[in-house]
This record gives sequence, C-alpha cells and structure tokens, in this order.
Amino acid sequence: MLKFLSIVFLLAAVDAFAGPMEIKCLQCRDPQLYPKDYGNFAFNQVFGENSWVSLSQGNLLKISNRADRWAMVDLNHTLIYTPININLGIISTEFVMFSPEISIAVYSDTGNKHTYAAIPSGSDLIVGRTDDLPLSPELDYGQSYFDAPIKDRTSGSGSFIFVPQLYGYPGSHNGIVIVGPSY
Amino acid sequence: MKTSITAALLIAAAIIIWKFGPPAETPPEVESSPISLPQHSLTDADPFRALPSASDPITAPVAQADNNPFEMVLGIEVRKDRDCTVEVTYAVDSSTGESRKIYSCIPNSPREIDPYTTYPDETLAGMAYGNAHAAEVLGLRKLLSPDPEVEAQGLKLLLRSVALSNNSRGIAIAINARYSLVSSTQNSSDRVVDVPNVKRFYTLSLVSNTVSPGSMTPEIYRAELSKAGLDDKELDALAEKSRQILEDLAEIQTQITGDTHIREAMENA
Repeated sequence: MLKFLSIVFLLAAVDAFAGPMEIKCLQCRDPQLYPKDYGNFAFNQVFGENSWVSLSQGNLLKISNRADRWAMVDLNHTLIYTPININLGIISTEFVMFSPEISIAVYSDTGNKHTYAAIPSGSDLIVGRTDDLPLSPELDYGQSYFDAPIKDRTSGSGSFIFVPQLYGYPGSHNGIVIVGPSY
Repeated sequence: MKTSITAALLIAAAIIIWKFGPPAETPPEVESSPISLPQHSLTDADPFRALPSASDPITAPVAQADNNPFEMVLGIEVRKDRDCTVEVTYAVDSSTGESRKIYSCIPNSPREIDPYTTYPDETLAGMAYGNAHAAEVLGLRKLLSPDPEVEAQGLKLLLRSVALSNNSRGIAIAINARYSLVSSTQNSSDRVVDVPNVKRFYTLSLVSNTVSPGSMTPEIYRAELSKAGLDDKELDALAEKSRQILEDLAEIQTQITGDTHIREAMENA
C-alpha cells in the first residue's frame, strides 16, 4: 500500500514539474517535413483569430499531432537593441524597442530547427496546407520585383535576430528576446 | 503509530481517487489520438471539477486587477475574452508510461465564416478592382498556388488590397503565408539563411513601413542580409524595388479611391 501511495505522490510531483504546456494539433503533419505547421499552430493559439493563451504561458509550447510526433515551439517578441548610447550623466544607456514581428523557432523531435517570423494581423496562420509549395523564381507583378532565388544559400553560425539560437534551447527568456549586433 | 499513519494515507488515497475519478467524456480534439489512455478531463465549465483550494495551483483563485486581460484556468494563463472552454485531458503515454496533460480550448459557438471565402475566383476577381477585402481573399488564395505565375498574381492582389485599404495588412498576410522563413538548422549543422525569402521580407517590410509606419522592422532583415553577404549596393537595389512597388500602389490608390496617402508618405519618407 505504501509503495502504491509513494508512486502516486511521485507521479504528482513529476506532473507538477511537467515543463511546457502541450496542445494537440490534428492538422499538423510530419514535424521534420512541415515544421511551420507546428509554429503556425502555436502562433494561432496566442495571436490568431480565436486566440486563448497568453504569450507568457504560450511562449514555449509542445505541439503534438495525431501520430504523437511533436515539436517544441518558441514564440518571442523581439527587442531591437540599438547601438546608440546616450550618456545621461553617470548613466550610460541604450535604446531598446519592441519589434512588431514575432519570431518563431520550431524544434522538431528529430533535432532540426526552423526559424521564421510572422506578423500578427488578426488572421490565423495556415496549418496543414503550405510548406511544400515551390516558390516562384521571381514575382513579377508586371515587372520583376525580386531576383531569382540564390541557389547556394549562405550559411554561417552568426545570428543577428531570433536569439533562441543563441540561447541554445527555448524557453529561457519568457517571450522576449534581445537582438542586436554583437560587440 | 503505524496504524494511524496507514489510516492517514488511506484517507489521502481516498481523496485522490475521489478527485481523479472515472474518465469524463473525451474531448473531440483528442478523441482520435492513438497515443494515450485518457484518465480524466477537466474543463473550466465543469461543475464537478476539483474544489478550489488555496494551496492548489490548478484551482486556486488568483487575485488580479480588473484590467488584467488574462486569468488562470486549470493552472494555465488564458485570455478572459476567449470564446472557448479550456479543457485538460490527462493521459498516460503507453510506450514510456509518462503522465501528460494535453490542453485544448473547445469553441463555445460555431466559428463565423467569412462569406468572401465562399465566393468563386471569378466573382472575387470582379470585385477586387475596388474592394480591398475581395483582393485580399483572392490574393491569398492565389498566393498559395503551386503555379509561380498564379502566386505572382496573388502577391499583386494582396498589394492592391494594401493600396485600396491604405493598410499594410495585405503584406502581413503575404509574408505569413509564404515568405516568412528566415533560417533553418538541420542535424546541428550550420544555420542556413533563406536569402531569397529574407530579400522578399526586407523589400515588403519597407513597403509596409511606408504605408503603415512602425508595422515592421526592415532594419532586422537588412542586417540579416548583410550578414548573409549582400553588400550595400544589393541592399539599396532592394530598397529601390520597394519604391517601385510603392509608386504602383500610390497610382492605384489615387485612381480608385482618390486618396493620396501613399504618395504623401513616400514624399515624407
């Protein structure tokens, strides 16, 4: 009996320390192939047409699909860190401001990470339909507005924005990341 | 002494069993999940949910100012103005034995459907000449096409909606739907910046910021492109493209609505 109760209390303690909130997404597909399904779904819970979760609660969410594949999604406001210093007597300070964009980092269960940005516009982001569409080589709109895609994508470890990469793992910054040039 | 401890533990067990009683009806959003064995569901509208307790974080009432838009429900912070019922399902993962709580918010009423989304393309195309919302709905529909030409028409319509409404929402929709990816890291390799997308992002953010100041932060994407290897000349060329787009939008706006807001914003920029 005591063993049973110990297990009950232990499970309750583990449950209290369960980590990020988990939400089921029925439309989400394979997180490795369609990571934006998970990021978009998480964004909709906080900023979408029928949002219901606060950003402080939803800045780190575990989204799982029907097949129990999952991804961790880190939503963040971005703070722009300006290099301008103003010397106020003995206090030297820098300007920081919020960016309207929300950075979304999706960590799939296979270890891949996708980072993108979305702009809250009152509309839901699309879940379960995009990501597999090829982008046009150029968007002409009557004239060429954009160049053709660059085949060899630039790689590098540097990061100016979307600092979840710098923190290594999501959830350590409570919905706000500070960005700026590294000095 | 031993007997009294055992009796106390039995009472505690009885309370736990009473609190986590037989499984409630499985919510629609998780009923088809193959993962788990639902143990019990709680909702914020459930009259039989656990009694409030000052020490229980799940049910303890939280003293909040009246102007706080959020409240604690079932242990999580949610919006007060939500139109859904928060529900939590307790589940046990059959493979690992882990206990999990899966949250959902079940709509209280059927979601309203935008009637424009039910219109055929031909109807919307006719309306899109002077109707910003029709241009927006048709633009998004076309933007999601796998055909690059149709995708370009979609962006054109979304930009038209910006001119007609004098609001940058159409650009946000375009970026959110197709052009939002900034970078990816696969199998712990180096971060790969999606340069073509970030170029679109930067150009459109300049347009957006001119139409609706402060709506986006072009500096972020300029810096990202600069780090990806684009020089000032290439970046300035993208800024020039944004001016071409703005010229077109100003012309559409003046012709259709008679407004000169975008033209004035360009001159003041």
